[in-house]
Amino acid sequence: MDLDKLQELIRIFEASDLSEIEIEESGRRMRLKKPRPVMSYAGQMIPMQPADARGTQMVLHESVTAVPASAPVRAEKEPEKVITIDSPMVGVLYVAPSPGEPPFVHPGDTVDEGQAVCIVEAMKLMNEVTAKYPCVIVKALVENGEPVEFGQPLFVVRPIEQV
Amino acid sequence: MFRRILIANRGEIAVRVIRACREMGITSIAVYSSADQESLHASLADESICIGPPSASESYLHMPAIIAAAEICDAQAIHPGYGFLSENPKFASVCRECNINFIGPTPEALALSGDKAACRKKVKAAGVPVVPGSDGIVTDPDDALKLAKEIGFPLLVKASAGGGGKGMRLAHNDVALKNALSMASSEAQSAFGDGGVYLEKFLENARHIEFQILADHHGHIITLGERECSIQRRHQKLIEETPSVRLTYSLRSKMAKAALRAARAINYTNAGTVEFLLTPDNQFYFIEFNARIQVEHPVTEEVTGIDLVKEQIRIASGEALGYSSVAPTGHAIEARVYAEDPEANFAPSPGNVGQCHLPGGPGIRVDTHLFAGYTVPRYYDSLLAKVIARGRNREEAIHRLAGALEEFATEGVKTTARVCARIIRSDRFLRGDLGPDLIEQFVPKSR
Repeated sequence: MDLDKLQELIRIFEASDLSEIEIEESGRRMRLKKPRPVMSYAGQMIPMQPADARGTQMVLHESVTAVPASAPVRAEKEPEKVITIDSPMVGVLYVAPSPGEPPFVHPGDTVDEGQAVCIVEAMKLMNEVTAKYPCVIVKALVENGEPVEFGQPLFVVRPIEQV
Repeated sequence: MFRRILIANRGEIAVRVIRACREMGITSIAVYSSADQESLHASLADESICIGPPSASESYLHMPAIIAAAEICDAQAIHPGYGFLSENPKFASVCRECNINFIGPTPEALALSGDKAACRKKVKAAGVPVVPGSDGIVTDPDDALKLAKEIGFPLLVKASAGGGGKGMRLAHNDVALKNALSMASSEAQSAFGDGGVYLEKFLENARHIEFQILADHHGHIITLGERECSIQRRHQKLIEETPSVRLTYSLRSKMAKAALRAARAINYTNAGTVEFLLTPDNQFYFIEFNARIQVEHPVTEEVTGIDLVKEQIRIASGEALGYSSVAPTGHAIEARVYAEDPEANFAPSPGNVGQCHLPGGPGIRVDTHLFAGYTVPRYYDSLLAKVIARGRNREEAIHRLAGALEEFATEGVKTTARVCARIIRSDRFLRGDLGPDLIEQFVPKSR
């Protein structure tokens, strides 16, 4: 499963009511799990444990026994940890400085530390969201004009190691 | 009527407003900081939206975040609860500019009630007795000394923009007054960004009596009776009850009339509270206006049967009150349970509650955002629950409340429940002798 597909899956999973999902594909098994509030005896929603920032834990493990003998011995490269640029505020996301202008960034672009990647509008104020470190934009997670919450992931990025 | 209301608050009051919305068929929208992700208001509301990091100034006090949340959720009205932005005239006017209905008084009434010196003047002009003191802000120490000669010590120096005991100093003589002026002023400047202070005579052994007001946009205004809030710690109320044992029928109606005059003087609408001090010789004086729903509102609800939060929403949507008087029955007392450690000078006691048991039974109401496993964040007010008891008479309410407080149990955090129970069971409380010194006997000496 490639990275794009995996991210798409995580997104769908995040948005769903499912608490756990397990997928097996060509001998590789993957399980996604989020800490869910459980029902108490009183029928009240009780969160059992503090969730991490977005409420999702990724459990990835390769099922060695399920790999057919004919499969290449070299394991595919470690699944990359998903790193995101998150919204610093609640508001409406705009991908370009103003309507009609080209977007700040496209997937595949390399951005520098402090470079603007999008705008979040709150109370008619345009707030630029900037990259905190040099990185490559892998994927945009929010469409132009969509509302965003504080802390919501906006872009999947791959940091560029500083030499 | 509104279809969608955003609640710009957290904790028990947010839960309280969500319940009122649910009852009225209104979609409730909670806002929460990232520290409150697991909180009850965020999970109980029909919709919820994260508006910022834990710090209140970047979340619950941050107007752009709240307005943006209201806009993207298409909320028609905002209920501000108490504290945070509830008495902020700027916020009320921003709501107005954004065509969002602010569930509370107008920005103009908020500005006036928040400027305590100006409010005092206006109310005095309307014929309501105010505590003897200065007419407006005092800047010159010589003016203050002159005034002190006229009205006599002890004097309170109070911040005009103040509240919660901040920017308040007591002076017993000229030297102390001079010091108190500059200290209160600089404290007020740093706490409220406004160094204006005024003088008030300090009334010894005065009782704190307040009147609940409801006023609609059609010129109707009523009072729902008084609450006595004399049991306080560090200017923070601990136990409140209605009716007050101190008021006779004629004194009550005199004070109620004064409360209505005060509210009319500042063109007040929605729910509000007029606070008075009552001296041992039955003189009463206006002290200030609380332009919001108050923490202690449930005691009034318990004896009148009127849901004040629902009334706030109805009034804000333009409905008329529809009644001109209420007839309270029985007696109600509320105790505030704070997540504080009475053994450690009431230091905040945040942390995981673990298992908990909330009291119940006839006449007991618990307003709280508490649940087993809840973690009390260290960022906000430590109010954890309000336990309210209603009885046919004061004695019944006392015994119900004391029993309920003794039942109240939390595993991981310390609370003030037991201290409140001891106060309520004391002979002095039973006698209705609620002087300001009563609490001292029950507060363990700090280590």
